[in-house]
Amino acid sequence: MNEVLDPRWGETVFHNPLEDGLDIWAVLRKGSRQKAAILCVEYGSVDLDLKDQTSPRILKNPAGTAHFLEHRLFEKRYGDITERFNVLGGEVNASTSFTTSVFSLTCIENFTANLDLLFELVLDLEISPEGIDREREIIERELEMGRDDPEWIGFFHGLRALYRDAPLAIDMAGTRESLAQIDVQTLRLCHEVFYRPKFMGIYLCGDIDLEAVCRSAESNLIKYRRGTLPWERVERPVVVPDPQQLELLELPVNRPYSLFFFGDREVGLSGSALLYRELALELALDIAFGPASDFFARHYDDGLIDGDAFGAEVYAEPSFCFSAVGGYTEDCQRLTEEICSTLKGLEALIAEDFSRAKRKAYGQLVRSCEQVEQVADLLCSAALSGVNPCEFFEVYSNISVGEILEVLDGGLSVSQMGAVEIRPMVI
Amino acid sequence: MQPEGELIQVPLAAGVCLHLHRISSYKTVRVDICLSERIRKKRHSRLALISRLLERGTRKLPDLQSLNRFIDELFGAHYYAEINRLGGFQLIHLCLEVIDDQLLEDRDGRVLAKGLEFLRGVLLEPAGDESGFQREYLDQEKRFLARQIADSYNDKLGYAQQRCVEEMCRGEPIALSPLGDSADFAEIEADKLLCFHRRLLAENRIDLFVSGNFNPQTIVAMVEDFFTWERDGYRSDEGVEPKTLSRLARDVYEIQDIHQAKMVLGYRSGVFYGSEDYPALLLLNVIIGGDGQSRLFKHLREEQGLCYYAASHIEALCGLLFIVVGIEAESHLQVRNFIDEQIKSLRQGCIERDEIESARRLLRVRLLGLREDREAFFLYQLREGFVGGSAAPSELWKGIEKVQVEDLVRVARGLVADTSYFLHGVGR
Repeated sequence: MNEVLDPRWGETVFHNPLEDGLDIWAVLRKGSRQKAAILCVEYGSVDLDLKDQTSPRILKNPAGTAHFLEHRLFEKRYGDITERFNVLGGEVNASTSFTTSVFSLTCIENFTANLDLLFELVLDLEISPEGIDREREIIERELEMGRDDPEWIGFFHGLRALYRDAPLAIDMAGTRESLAQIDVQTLRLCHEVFYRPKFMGIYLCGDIDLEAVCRSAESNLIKYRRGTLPWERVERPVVVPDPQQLELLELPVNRPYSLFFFGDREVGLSGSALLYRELALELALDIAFGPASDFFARHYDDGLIDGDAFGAEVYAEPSFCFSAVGGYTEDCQRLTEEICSTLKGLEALIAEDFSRAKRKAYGQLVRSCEQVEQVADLLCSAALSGVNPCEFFEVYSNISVGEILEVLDGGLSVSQMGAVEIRPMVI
Repeated sequence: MQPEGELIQVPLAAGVCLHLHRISSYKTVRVDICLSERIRKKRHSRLALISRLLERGTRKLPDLQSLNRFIDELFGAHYYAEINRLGGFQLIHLCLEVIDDQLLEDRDGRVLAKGLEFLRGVLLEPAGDESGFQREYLDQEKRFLARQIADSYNDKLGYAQQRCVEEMCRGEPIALSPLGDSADFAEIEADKLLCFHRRLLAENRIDLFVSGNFNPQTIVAMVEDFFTWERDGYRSDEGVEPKTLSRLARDVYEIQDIHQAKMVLGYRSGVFYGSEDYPALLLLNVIIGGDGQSRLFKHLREEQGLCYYAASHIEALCGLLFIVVGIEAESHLQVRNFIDEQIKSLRQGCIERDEIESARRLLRVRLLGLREDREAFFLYQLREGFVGGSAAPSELWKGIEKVQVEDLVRVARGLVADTSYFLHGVGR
């Protein structure tokens, strides 16, 4: 077990990589009542292809398989596993992103027993055709709900404008058509390929007995040992932006909504280089469009944007990187022009406003790990980027003007932009 | 030293209370200030506008940009003002979070002191002059708030819930939106609004919550340093909600071009927060639709695949219970009948022991863990204050431990179905 005290963060981080590849990361919080655990599997909505280990054969799985599997794991031979967590005083939740399936647990008591159950939830797959039919209906309802959410639809249309047909631009839950193709065999195979210790990590925070946790993890991995398989996962291709024109939609909304997506050309980074790039993009966007920027002051005053309904976000992972800017506006055309001209003049603003933006980001980092669930999240996102969590604090302290100037051309260039515009439906 | 997780309450003036909450693992100090009152027509629009103006600037930081820059420079602090509701109460909520001074390399940062001074400026000297709020800002905020009110149309689930309450409780405080009514805005003037704001500071209930890893005496001294309270007309708003007469059950339909229909069913329980039967209502709500083992989730979703979203929730201070589901329009009657049957079976006492114990365990974890969730804990204590109490969540848990089947049946029998609201597509 490795143990590092981070003086900046003021926490000790424990790391125990188990032999078969499962990583355990933990921060102990003595006296804390709540305990949190995240079990993260590196399997998300973009992971559709499997390859044959002995031939060049590729098997394509339907979109939405990872999300379907995440839903289906809760159903066991004896019923819904949530009930057993409840008996132990645990609450579980799960979600699927582009690149992960995340199962999270919070509890006050019976932590180790709850953790054992978390392994059972994730590694013990019981599956029946009837169960799959029912789940398909539920997920169809989930998709329908998303179709009435302008921000959700806008997000995926914007990604389509940026990445066209890449799996990244499809709803994590798939489509009505792809759901119809998912069957027992698809789910079994994907579970066996992706739910392996080498693609998994556990992230913990609370007043926890670490020795007991490690013993539990080891014995569970023996209990659910995986055999060898003819199929294996395909390394995620790096997704390069291929922007096309604007996507236009009409929806039942009260006023226009515009989102601008900027694909990063320098994609494929990991480790602290990825952290630097992500933070540099965040700082650049804050300087350009954040609440303290000239852009914000000017266009809040002239009514083009309004505070809460306008914002910017960065999505940086080893296989893709993009930024999204926008929100509700009175005038999509003028907003497009103003955003583009601000980005063109951004370089000149960086040095002057850098220290403010950096302070703000550091404050945000400290504020984002007060609760045990938040700490577990931070440990998880560090591991997915391939760094020790302490590096967040290092990168946030050490970033310089030069690093921001460097990302402007590749990461926030108007030539790498895809956009979506939602107009109110005329009734 | 204050015991970990316990709340200390210090009265500062008539109707002004300081709540101190120490958790030793916190690396930030958070200050929440709440000005509250029972929500009332016309006044509610003024409170809503004031909440927005308290984010626009102070006399020292006279515009949005200088205010936001100041906050960022304060070692990455975070500040916002919002308008909110808690049952029939409307609240102006200011929130400031700063890094704990003890953790900064620059030990003379005095971040918390500067933050409190800033909050003082926001409340007592907002942008403008002695005679009124800054006129231009008021005009802008009227425009933005009117848009924000109209934006509720875009979130269909939220919209459906809001519409159900409006239809069900017309004429009651809970039916008023905390965002106000844009029809009131025209007559609101900058000078009169500032006088109104000053009266709020003199007359309304004010709660200050501070949470972090600190010595309580230090915080009390600091707060007393920065804030003096001129309280000449404090009137308490505490106590139970005004009684309402229940009417005939009504069905309301609304059509929009949407894919998924939303059904919201409103019930009056007659059981209010702080009353003897409240723990039973809370437990009943979990059994109906409070989590993954609830009847709605288990049967409507997991067994019949009729919905993805299905939940129930209570408006504790108003004694109301709502059931909310997203379904296909065609299954409307099927779902409605299922819910009616469930309520009927609860009234007849068909409640499994397992169901009750499972709901009880869930509430135990949520209530005992609450003190480590800043936002939820502070809202919890505020609601306690609104009914004249100060009990910790563990007290409510003791009440829940004692609930028996007959208590649940009694509360279920007291549920009166009121409005059923159904938002659905045009049917293509």
